[in-house]
Amino acid sequence: MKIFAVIPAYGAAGTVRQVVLGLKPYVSEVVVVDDGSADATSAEASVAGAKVLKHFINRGYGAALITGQNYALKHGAEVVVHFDADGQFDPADVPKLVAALQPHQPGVALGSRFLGRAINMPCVRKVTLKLGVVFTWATSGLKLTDAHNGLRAFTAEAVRRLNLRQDRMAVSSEIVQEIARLKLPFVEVPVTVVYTADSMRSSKQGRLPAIRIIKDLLLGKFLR
Amino acid sequence: MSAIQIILLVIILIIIWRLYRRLASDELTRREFVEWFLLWLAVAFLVIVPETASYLAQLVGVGRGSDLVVYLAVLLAFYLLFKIFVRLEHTERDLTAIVRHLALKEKKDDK
Repeated sequence: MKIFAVIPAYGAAGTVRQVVLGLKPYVSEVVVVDDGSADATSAEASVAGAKVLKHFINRGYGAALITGQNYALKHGAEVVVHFDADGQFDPADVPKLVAALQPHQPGVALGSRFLGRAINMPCVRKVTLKLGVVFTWATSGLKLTDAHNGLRAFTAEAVRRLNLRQDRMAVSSEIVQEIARLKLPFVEVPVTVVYTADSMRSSKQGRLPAIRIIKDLLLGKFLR
Repeated sequence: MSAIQIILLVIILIIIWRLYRRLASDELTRREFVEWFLLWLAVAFLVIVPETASYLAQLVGVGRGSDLVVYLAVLLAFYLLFKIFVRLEHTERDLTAIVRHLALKEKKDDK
């Protein structure tokens, strides 16, 4: 099966090379979308053997993810895997996610650190994520154990049906809402997430993103 | 008529004149012109007959005419602000579409 890994990256020069090298054995192609980074993210990803797509200016996690997905579909991907550039995920979890999918049927496998392992996770983060689960359940009806996990796998059939518009972090919520709307078959798969000093600096952390996400989701309703 | 009324009316007249100019130079659509024109007409009317505000206020159960005017103005301001937010997000998404197009195009050129 042609498996494409899509990695949105912004200022990830320190970690992206390792991530790409780690993923290569498990996928057919690694696509890194450099979302207007000022550092050597593109160069590092390229050296590691990834296809690099460059956003001229920073548009956000969602925008980069969608660009990568479009590329993957255009190049014959049968499975699309979302992976983060900051080294928090374990590439060995990818086959577990892919195995949970039915080939050529629309389906989604969502990574869950609460079913799996969350190493060195700060308390604040845990609380925020748990609240996120409640929020997700309230807005989509889906009861997940980990509502905002960047490690996901989709069959191409599922990707084609998704109508994703959010440019920034809210896309994670939009994905879940789309799964609910389209009634896509999905499973949660235990994965490992490691919090290191490096990854803590990324924009994923903190409570402020949550407020922005809610605002983006609300605005999104008026733009469809 | 008091001094403030005359000053306000002159200002409103200038605003309406500039509105007309914008309509003539195609900066505004017909509909936008009519919306704003009607709004300023209503404001002018309130300026000429301020008792209207008091009358309307009593009608809806608000203390003073000026209170009602402020409430409505605030509502209008929030509504317009919201419209701007939506417009802004729309523009952001258009920007992303362009950046995405460039990113994917580059890839094809390399091949």
